[in-house]
Amino acid sequence: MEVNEKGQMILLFAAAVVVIILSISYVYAQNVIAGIESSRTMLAFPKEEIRNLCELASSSSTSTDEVVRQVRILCAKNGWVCNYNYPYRVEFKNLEVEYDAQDCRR
Amino acid sequence: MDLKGQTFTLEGVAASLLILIATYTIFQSTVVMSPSWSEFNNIQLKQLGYDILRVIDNPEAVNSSLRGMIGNLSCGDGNYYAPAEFSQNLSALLNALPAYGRVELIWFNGSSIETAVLFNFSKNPTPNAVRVSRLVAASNDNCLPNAKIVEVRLTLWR
Amino acid sequence: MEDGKLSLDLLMGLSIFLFTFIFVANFLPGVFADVRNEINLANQAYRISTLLVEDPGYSSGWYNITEDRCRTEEFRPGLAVYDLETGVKYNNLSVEKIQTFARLLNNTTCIERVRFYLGLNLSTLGGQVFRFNVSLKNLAGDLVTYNRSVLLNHGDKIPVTQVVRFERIVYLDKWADNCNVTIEGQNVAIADRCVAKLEVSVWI
Repeated sequence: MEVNEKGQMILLFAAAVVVIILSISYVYAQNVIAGIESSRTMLAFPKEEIRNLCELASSSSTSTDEVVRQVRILCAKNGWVCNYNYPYRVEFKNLEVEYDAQDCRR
Repeated sequence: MDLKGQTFTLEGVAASLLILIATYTIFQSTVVMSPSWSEFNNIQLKQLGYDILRVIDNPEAVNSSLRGMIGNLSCGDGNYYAPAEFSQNLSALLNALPAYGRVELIWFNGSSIETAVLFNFSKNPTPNAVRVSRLVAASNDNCLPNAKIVEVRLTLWR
Repeated sequence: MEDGKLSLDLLMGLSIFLFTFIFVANFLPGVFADVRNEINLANQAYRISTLLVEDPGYSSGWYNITEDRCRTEEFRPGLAVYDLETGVKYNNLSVEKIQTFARLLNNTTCIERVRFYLGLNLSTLGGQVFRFNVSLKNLAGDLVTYNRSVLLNHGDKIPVTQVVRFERIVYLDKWADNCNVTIEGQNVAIADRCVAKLEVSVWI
């Protein structure tokens, strides 16, 4: 029986287009991933927590041993490791960030 | 009607289906999805939460600041009541965003960590709520025994 | 002898295929990150709002700049109060700096310098130029006025196209006319501060 092989060019075009789409999307995907990652760092860096500790470390009345101990315990409940000393010495560690400053104002 | 000679049409349809299915499959994968827009809303709400806690933490205000609220807290029957001025101020602030809020106080009583919810801000949050906290150096020997510093946790949702 | 006729069959198949192909070709570029500017807009809005609210600006006396010097002098706007002892007071905006900022944004040359120093004009690096608008409103939604004139509602004119807005809660270092909030009929200042909302809008 004769096999009619005419008109396979349309399917060929379609296959070519699919290959092109796949390759372009692979290349451009890197852009999107970069966008996702950079916007996640907004949420990830504990800017406000560190500033909070800096403000506590700026006054000697809030840097007594007892207060620091309670701060360490409350931080630990949130999953952070924090410590601070008067004046302006702050340490903060969470899952993603490790911060250690002799002078937290800088 | 002659049903012969429809190869090209079938080919065309098959080709279209091929392209559409390929496009659909690719865009179902997370690789090419746009960065979630909802993440931006979370960032906005979270930053507003931090801003609120910072703004109402006024060391000079008496009743309407965080320090004043903790110092003048009244408690009874397991409920914790903030001074009316503080509740009104915070409600006004939340209404202006607009957002709903829940305020919890967490402190260390010498042997364990205790949590308390403010009576006027005790609604249950939705699953997409954000949580922000601030450590405030204040004490209340009556309602928060042995606490020298209190974590004020604000949960915000829209 | 072959007649050179196109069969209807071929036309149908080809047209179905072409239809789908053109649809996909139009749809595809709209999904990729290069073309979707909205992704970048959110980052810019967040960045500008943070820069204005949490940074005192460079140099320390930048708010003394006048409109004729803005073209030659290098500066970066920042509205936060800087205290010599405690450092930057985050979220505490200086009315003087806000007034200078508004003046600069009113001037057609200075707004372009501000745009450049805020990092919204990336044309020299082959990137885009963003338009922005900054406004300060009180908690009721009205523009904050100081000495009966609007403090900050300046920048490019907000269009009807896609605009991304980021808001921050701030407090001013001087009492404005309308920063109080009405609670149960009384005029109250939240936490004894002049609390306001800073809105930064960014678009292409």
